[in-house]
Amino acid sequence: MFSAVYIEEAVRDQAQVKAILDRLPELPQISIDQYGELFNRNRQNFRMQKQLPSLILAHKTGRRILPAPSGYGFESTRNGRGYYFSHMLNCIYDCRYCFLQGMFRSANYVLFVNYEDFQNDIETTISKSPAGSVFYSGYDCDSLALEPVSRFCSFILPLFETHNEHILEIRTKSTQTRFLLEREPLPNCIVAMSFSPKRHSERWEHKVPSVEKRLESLVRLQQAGWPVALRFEPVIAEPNVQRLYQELFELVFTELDPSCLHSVSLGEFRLPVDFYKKMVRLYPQEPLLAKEMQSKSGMITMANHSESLIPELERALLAYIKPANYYRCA
Amino acid sequence: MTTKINLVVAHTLEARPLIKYLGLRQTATTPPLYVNEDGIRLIVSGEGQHCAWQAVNYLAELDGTAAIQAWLNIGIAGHQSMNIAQILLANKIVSRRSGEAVFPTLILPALQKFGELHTVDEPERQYPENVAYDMEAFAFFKAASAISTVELIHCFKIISDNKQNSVDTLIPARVKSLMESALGEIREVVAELQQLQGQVYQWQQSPPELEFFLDEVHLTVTQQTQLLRLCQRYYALGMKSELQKLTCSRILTSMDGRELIGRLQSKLAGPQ
Repeated sequence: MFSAVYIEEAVRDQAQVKAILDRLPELPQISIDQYGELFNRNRQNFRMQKQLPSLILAHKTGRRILPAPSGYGFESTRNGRGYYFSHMLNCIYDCRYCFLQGMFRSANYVLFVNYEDFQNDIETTISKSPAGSVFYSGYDCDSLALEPVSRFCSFILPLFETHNEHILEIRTKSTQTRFLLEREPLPNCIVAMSFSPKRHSERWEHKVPSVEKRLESLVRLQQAGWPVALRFEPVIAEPNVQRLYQELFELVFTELDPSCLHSVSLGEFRLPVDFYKKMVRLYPQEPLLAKEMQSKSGMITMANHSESLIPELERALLAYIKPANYYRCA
Repeated sequence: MTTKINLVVAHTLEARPLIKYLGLRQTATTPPLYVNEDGIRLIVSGEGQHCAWQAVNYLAELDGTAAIQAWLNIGIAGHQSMNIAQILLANKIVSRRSGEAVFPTLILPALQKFGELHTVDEPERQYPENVAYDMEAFAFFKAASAISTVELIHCFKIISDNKQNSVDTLIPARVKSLMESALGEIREVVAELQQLQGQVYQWQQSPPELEFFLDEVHLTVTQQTQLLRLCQRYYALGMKSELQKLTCSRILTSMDGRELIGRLQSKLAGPQ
C-alpha cells in the first residue's frame, strides 16, 4: 500500500503516531522536519508517484476547519453553516476526474496526526455556529479509505455523539465501514457514498471498490440504522448518459430504502482551469480529459451537452426520492 | 525526445568495473565520459560535492531539454554498522555542511535496501551516526533535481568501510572487488530506471502527425502548443485516422496555422 512512512520529527513520539507505525511494521521509516519539504517540492511527477506512494505523518498547523464552498453541501437546507476539514491530503483511489491530481504536486498521502487539535477546533467552531451546522469530512481525501490505518473517524465520532445538534458528513467511496457497523449508529453522522454509472466507474475510478460493493456497504449501514446519503457526482456528459444514470438509479434504489435516505445530490463535472491544465499535462492521452470542455469564470466544465442534462437526471431521480431530500451540488 | 541514463561516479577505480560490465566506450577524456547503445552514459566526476555538481550540469548541457534524463550516483560509502559490501539506495540525503536534507523517491521496488546517507566534505572516520557517509550524493541530487523529475534520481552506495574497517585501510583492489560484487544490483536499478523512464517517454510522446504539420505549415509558438494538444486529443478520442487523413490531404499546403488549428478544432467540437 505504501513504499515508506515519512514522519515529522515533532510528532514522532505522539501516541497516535506510534499506534499507526505499529500497524505498518514492515515499512521503511524516514524522518523529516516538515511535510512540505517533501510534499510541496518542485519537479515531482504525480502520475509516477501514484504507482507507489508513501505515507507522510505530519502535524496540521493553521486553520483546520474551513467554511465549505458555497453549494458544496446541504447545510443551507438545514439553516446551518457548512464547514469542511481534511485530516488527510490525497486519496488512495485514482479517479481520473479527481481535482486532487491538479491540486497537489505529490501523490503521497499526508495524514495529519494531531487529531486532538481537529477535535478542539471542531468544538470551538460548534460553539460559534447555529444548530444544524454541517461538518464535511473528506474534501481533500476519502474519509474512510485509510481508516484501518488512521482510525481518524473512530476518533472523531464521539465528539458528534455529544454534539448531536450538529451534523458530520463522512464522504467516501470506500467500503471500510466495519468500525461503523460495530458501534451504535449516530443519527447526526451521515455516511455519504459517491456513485457514478458502472461504465464510468470502470473507466475512470481506478482502485475504487465496484459500484456493487459500495452499494452493499451502504445497504448494511442503512440496515444498521446509520443515516446514509447518495452523491451522484461528477456527472460526466456523453451521449446516452441519461440511460446509464437511469440504470444506476434503478440499481441503487432497489437495494436502498429511499424513504430513509438522508439526502441525495447530483453534481456536474467541474474543475478549476489550472487544475485541469495540470491534469492534461499528466495524462495527455486520457480520453476523458480530451473531451471538449468550456471555461467560464476560472472553471472548466464539459461542453456540448444539453443544458437540460442535469434537470433530466433530477427528474429521473425525483421519481425515487422526495424533493426535500435532494440538492444540486454546485 | 530521447532517453538517457546518467551514471555519475566519483573515481575511475569505481567506474572501471561498471564500464566493462555495461559495455561502455569512452567518448571524451575531459571529463572522462563513456556511453553505450542503450542510452547509458557514465561520467567520472572526481571527488567531492563540487565535482559531482559540475558533472551533472555537464551531462545535462549535452542534451538540453531534448532528453528525459534519469540519474544514478554510484559509489562506495562508509557506515557505522552496515557490513562491508552491503548495498543501499539512499532514501534521505543530508548535507553535513548545511544540515539540509533531500529525499529520493522510493519508487524502485526491486531493491528493498534503503538507508540514510550523509554527504561530508572529508572522509568520515568516526561514523558518529548510524547512517552511510559519502562525499558527493547531496550535491549530485540537488543538481540533478534542478533538471529532472525527482523520481528519476537515485543514489546507490556500496559499503566499503565501517567502525571495524577504517577508510584508511581501503586499497584499490578492494574498491574494484566491492564494485564488482554489486554489479547485479546496479543492473537491476538501472533496469528499473529505464522502465520508469520508458513510461515517462510514452506519456510525453507527441503524435507523429505533429512533426508533419510543423514541417508543412508555419505556426507561431502558441499555435504549436495548441496543435500539440489537438493532436493528442485526436489520438485520445480514437480519431487518429482523421488526423492521418489530413496529413495526406493536398489542402494542407494552402493552409496557414490559423486555418489548420480551426479545422482540427471544428472536428472535435461535436459530442464525444
